[in-house]
Amino acid sequence: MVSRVLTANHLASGDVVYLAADGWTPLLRDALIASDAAAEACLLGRAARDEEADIVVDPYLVEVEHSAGRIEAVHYRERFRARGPSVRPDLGKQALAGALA
Amino acid sequence: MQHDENRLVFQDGQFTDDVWVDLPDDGPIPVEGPAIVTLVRLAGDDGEYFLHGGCRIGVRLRPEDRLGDLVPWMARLELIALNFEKFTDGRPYSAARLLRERMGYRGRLRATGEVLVDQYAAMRRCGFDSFVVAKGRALRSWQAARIEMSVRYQAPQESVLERRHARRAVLEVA
Amino acid sequence: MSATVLEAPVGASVTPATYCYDAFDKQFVAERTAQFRDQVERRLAGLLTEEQFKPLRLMNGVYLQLHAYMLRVAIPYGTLSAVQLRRLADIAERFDKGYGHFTTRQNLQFNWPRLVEIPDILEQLAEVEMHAIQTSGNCIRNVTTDQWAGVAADEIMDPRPWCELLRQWSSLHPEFSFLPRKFKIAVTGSPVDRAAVATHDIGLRMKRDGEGRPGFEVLAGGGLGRTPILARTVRAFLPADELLAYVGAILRVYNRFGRRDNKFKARIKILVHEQGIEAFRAAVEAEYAAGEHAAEAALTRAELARIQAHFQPIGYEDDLPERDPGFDRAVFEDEVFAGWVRGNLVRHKVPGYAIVNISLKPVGGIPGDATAAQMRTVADLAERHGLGEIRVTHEQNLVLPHVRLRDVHAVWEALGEAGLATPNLGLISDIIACPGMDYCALATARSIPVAQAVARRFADLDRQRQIGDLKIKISGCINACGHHHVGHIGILGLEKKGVESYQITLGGDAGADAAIGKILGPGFAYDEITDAVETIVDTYLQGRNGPGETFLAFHARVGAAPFKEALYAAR
Repeated sequence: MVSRVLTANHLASGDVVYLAADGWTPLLRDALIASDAAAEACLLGRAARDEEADIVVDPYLVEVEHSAGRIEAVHYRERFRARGPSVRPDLGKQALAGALA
Repeated sequence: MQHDENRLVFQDGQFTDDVWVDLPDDGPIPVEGPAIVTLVRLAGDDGEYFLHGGCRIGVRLRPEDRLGDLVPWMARLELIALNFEKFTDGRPYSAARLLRERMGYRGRLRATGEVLVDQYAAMRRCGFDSFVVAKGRALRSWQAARIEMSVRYQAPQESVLERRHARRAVLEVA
Repeated sequence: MSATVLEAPVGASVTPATYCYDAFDKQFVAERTAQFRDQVERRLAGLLTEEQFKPLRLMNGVYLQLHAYMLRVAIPYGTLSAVQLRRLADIAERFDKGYGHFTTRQNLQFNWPRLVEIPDILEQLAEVEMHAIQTSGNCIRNVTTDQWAGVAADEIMDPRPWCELLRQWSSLHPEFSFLPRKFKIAVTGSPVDRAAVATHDIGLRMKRDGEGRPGFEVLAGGGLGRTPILARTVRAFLPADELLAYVGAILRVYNRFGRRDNKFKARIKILVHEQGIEAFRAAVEAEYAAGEHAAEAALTRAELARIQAHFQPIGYEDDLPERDPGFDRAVFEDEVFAGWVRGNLVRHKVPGYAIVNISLKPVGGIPGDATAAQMRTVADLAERHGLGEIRVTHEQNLVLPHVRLRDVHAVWEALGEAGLATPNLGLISDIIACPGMDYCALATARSIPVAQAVARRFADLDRQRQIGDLKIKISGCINACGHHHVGHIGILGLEKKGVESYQITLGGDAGADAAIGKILGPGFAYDEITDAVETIVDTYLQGRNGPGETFLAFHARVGAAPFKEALYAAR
């Protein structure tokens, strides 16, 4: 079974966000990880509620690999999305101190 | 026959209940109407009845229906309903202008389907004068919208080009 | 050479010869801004679903991209005033991250605006007669044209008054705001087509008839994207004052009969292709003949005269000699300046003036990006030395269209201090690249770092000049915003087995002899693509009949075989 996290964009700001235990986080490393269908359904259910409540838009599951406290999206598109533009390391989440630890 | 409880009609500046009934292709024909039928039924066996009968009739068109097929009925039709299957389907705008500007239709021109307040102005400018609005979110949005454009660059209706032209004419006289 | 000659103070009221809004235009943009604020508020309040809001925000230039919202600001036909460019710099700093991106459609994109602040940005834009209306959506987009319109020596007429007429006519058009797909119009006023009109939904080539009356050759059905097709001629000569009515007839045929069942077959090029040009032409002519257009033609004439008055060149110094001794001396004495002059300066129709092209492609930079400080530098220079006017090119560069020859050296020095004097116009490092997967939600691969790597590989200017006229165009997905189909070397970024893969096309051309490039063979990995480009260039250099044979001419002569041999034989 692959692991997945749930991502979306924040409606008002547009920021990439991930579903965490206490709401939405900008950082992938803080995201809740679902490792079975029941956990995924739970994430999707919470996301659908927040989509209906006009907090986030376009929620979907993202496949990740994680070990020893590090988490990384499997697909390169999601890796860029979790970090920021590869050509501007000064911008996006990668510019936040400690964001990629 | 029942009115649809889930929708209102906006026309002549206010919301009203709909007096028109959508007639299916196989249902009985009302004696007085007012009834909206498909082009198929209008052109079918009941056509003679609709052409000469006493009931008030309207027709509902799909985007792919040919406007030319309406010609025999134009004098009889009190309402033409053009359906927006999705609000992003722009075909009814062209059909509306053709009906108004080329075919001389003067009866009610009704927008049905996904009819949203943000397209109201464009629909009205193309000749629609009756709008079927679903209750719920669409209706609340319709009531909440505040802004309407007063400036328009294109015909039909008085455009900026014409208004500028009129001003130039005034200046020339002065 | 002195920079102080006839210098106007910065911020002095220079009125550029571009269109200025009248009270109607101002009210229109103000109302549209208020309307969009209302739409945003209804979205945030839950009265519009995302599905309903998306087309509305797109029609006002707001995308949701990979990292954030993106706002695309319209720069109609690529013409900007210094005041407008300075305002864009202010917005970049106050609402964004201090820079903007000039696009292949002569627009400007901000990559990080917050949705809740976009109405405020639009108000800032409206104050300087700008907006984001119809920079996206299935409607008529920003009309593009020759970046040297009005100043090129080879021009028949300045096409911009017609572009402005089309801009107004297409703005919130009640009938044509929900077309099957997006719709792009380009106009060229010169027989040397710098607007790539054949790759647009409607292309307009200005012409004069036998009696010298102005008009257009009307083309339709061009487009790039996943099915690149060049436009076909619908009308060989259309009298100019019939333009709006005729374009309206084309749009009505497209709106009614264009395919809506499949997004990928919805552009007008597919309708023209499937119907055949004869049947399509007959449908347009029938629609046009059925309408009554005399009144609209009369209005068009009157309106055009009003608009044309805005574009009358003002402020040129009369009777300047063809040559300026100071300029000639600087070219003679300063080899670096001379190199920039050779590449970036273009002949102006008025004696004593030059068209100064500013490259936004510094080696290793992001094609088309400009910082707020750079925008202000260009705005200042435009006010001091350029009659207050700036152009944006579809090749993602800027232009100061009216610079006195005697001021050129001072302009070059100031550009150099701002990192804007890269002398690579039209050379291999002057690369068009879409934002690709560094920003775009639709992208399948990155474009920008490929452009950077290729530019670094060919950083040596002597080598670039030896290679000569070679246009590389890079798209990060099949939608082809980077125009790869018409690049001499086109690069298309795709995903293959979970990694980025780059497909090469050769022989494309965006000019008057427009051509679609042909796919060379299997794609290359991200870390192979720069080598592949270098192999192609070396193959050309080794095989050409001297420097007089351009890359395109060489390719036309020898075909793809030697390139394939060089690239794939060793694999």
